[in-house]
Amino acid sequence: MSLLRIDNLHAAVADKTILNGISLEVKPGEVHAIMGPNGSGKSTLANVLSGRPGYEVSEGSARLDGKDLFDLEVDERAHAGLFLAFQYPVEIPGVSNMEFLKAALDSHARAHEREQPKTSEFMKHVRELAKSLDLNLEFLKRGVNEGFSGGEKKRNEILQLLLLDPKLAVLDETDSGLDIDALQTVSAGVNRFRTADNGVVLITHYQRLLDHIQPDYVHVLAEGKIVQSGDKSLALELEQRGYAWLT
Amino acid sequence: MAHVNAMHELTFQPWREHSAATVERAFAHAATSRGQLEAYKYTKWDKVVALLRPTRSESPVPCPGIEFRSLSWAHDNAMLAELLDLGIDQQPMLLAGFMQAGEIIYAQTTADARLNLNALGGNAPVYIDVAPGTRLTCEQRGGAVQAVYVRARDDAEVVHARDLSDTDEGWHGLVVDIHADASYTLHNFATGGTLQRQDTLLRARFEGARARVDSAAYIAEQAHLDQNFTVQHLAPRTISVHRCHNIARHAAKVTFNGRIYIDRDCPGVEAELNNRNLALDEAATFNTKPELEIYTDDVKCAHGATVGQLDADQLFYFLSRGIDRNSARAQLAQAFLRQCINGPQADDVERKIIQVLA
Repeated sequence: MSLLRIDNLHAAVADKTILNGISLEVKPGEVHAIMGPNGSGKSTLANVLSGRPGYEVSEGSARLDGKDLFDLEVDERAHAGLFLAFQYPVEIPGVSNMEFLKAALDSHARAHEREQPKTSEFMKHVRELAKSLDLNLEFLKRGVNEGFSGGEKKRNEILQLLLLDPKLAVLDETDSGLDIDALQTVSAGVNRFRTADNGVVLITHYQRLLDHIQPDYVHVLAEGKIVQSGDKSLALELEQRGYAWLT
Repeated sequence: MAHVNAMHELTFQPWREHSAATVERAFAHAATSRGQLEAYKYTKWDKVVALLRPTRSESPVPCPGIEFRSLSWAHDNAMLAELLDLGIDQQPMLLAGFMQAGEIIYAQTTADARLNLNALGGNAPVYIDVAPGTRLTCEQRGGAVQAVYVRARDDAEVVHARDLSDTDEGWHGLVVDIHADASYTLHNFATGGTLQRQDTLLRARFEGARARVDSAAYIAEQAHLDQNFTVQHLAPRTISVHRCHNIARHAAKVTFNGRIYIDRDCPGVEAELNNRNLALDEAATFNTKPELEIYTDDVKCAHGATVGQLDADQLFYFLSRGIDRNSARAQLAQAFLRQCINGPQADDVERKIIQVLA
């Protein structure tokens, strides 16, 4: 059974069509890398799946674990198991990171009629995750992403990924702005997340991320369509030849 | 005229050579003059004056480190001279608040102290004289009418927490004189109220004086919050930071007039005034006007005002993590106010904003 199934997806932003019929199937345990030139629609795909306002779906469907994503509100998509790691995580002064994480985890518990985690256990778990991502524990007390460097913001996204443990993670250029050490740490976090039951859609510009997170499939997006699919060797070929031969 | 009628319900002490009748006429003239257009544009003069009530005073509860006595305009004019310097043309309402008949409670610190203004009883004007080099923490909660004058003498440190959230209708006047290397911090919080008017004047009078205001307010229904803040830099190398975050919803109305004044020959002044307003629905009204009046070149000064709705990107971030829309909106609104909530009453105030914004 598919974890994510996208069929003939068309979407527009401000009346401009960006996605022109994307079809993609992600099965449990798979990592799909999506590459492509600037403006090809990679981030639009991530935003459409997660339900960001301003993106209009005109045709096609996307189902997560059998549920029609477009029938669900943004928070319901998260409860259904979708997680978007943002390319540019927003800063939220006044809401502490710890408070935000607890609210997110509690909302999932409520949605699935599970018992909410005890605060002491939750804090212990979050601290352990933060340490594994080399994220200073002081950051947990600060406002969400407030004053974080680019790398710290990305680590914080992965911390949330590991905490919420979704069925499908869509990572939107998580490698952008990371130095070599941070790239390795973040990649280790994503690899820690991977199981035989969940899936990852990895949006990236660079092959280097795929040295750390081995993809099962690589897709090239151009002008809102997948124009080429292959295994990791496709990414290496793109590194050498660029995108021109495919568009 | 309506304002004259309202004034007649109060009795003002004459001062200097003026008669009471002259004072009343002067108030009426000052408040309706061109220079006061903004201060009384959204709440008319007669409505503001009508918020004043005859004052009453009780014997203050003894407080360690503080000596109390009474002052009167008749006998203590010299001591009250700095209040008279308010200038009837500039601050008629503040002057009115202090000039009402009856005594003024004089609280003089002799050491580090904590003062609970509510324990003073009544609503008589209070003159707080903070001794050089001492620290005073002053707390104030609710109360319909209160005029407070603070003089922070050299090297004194004053922290003033004012929670006006339980006030339905009222006027609160505050004048602070900050001396050399002294600091004054106001933590201001307000909710609700049919009409709440706050007139505040901070004067950095001597070199090295520092003033800070963190103000947060939430109002709803038909409430009107009318804030008038002025910071005067009257000496070189004085510093002020003023952050004011307000939220309104329903048919509520917020008025903010903020003004930084930097006098001549005051190099090295640093002043910042920032008023941010958040509308939780389309019916709320905001009138905001930050102003600068600067007469010295070598200063750093910034001011700004915004009126907006909840940040769409922040809201989406919450939702994307599974937090439902109502909770997300509530938490973002709380966060907006929380940026201006700190000080001795912060825990209580936080509980209140969580309650009203749940």
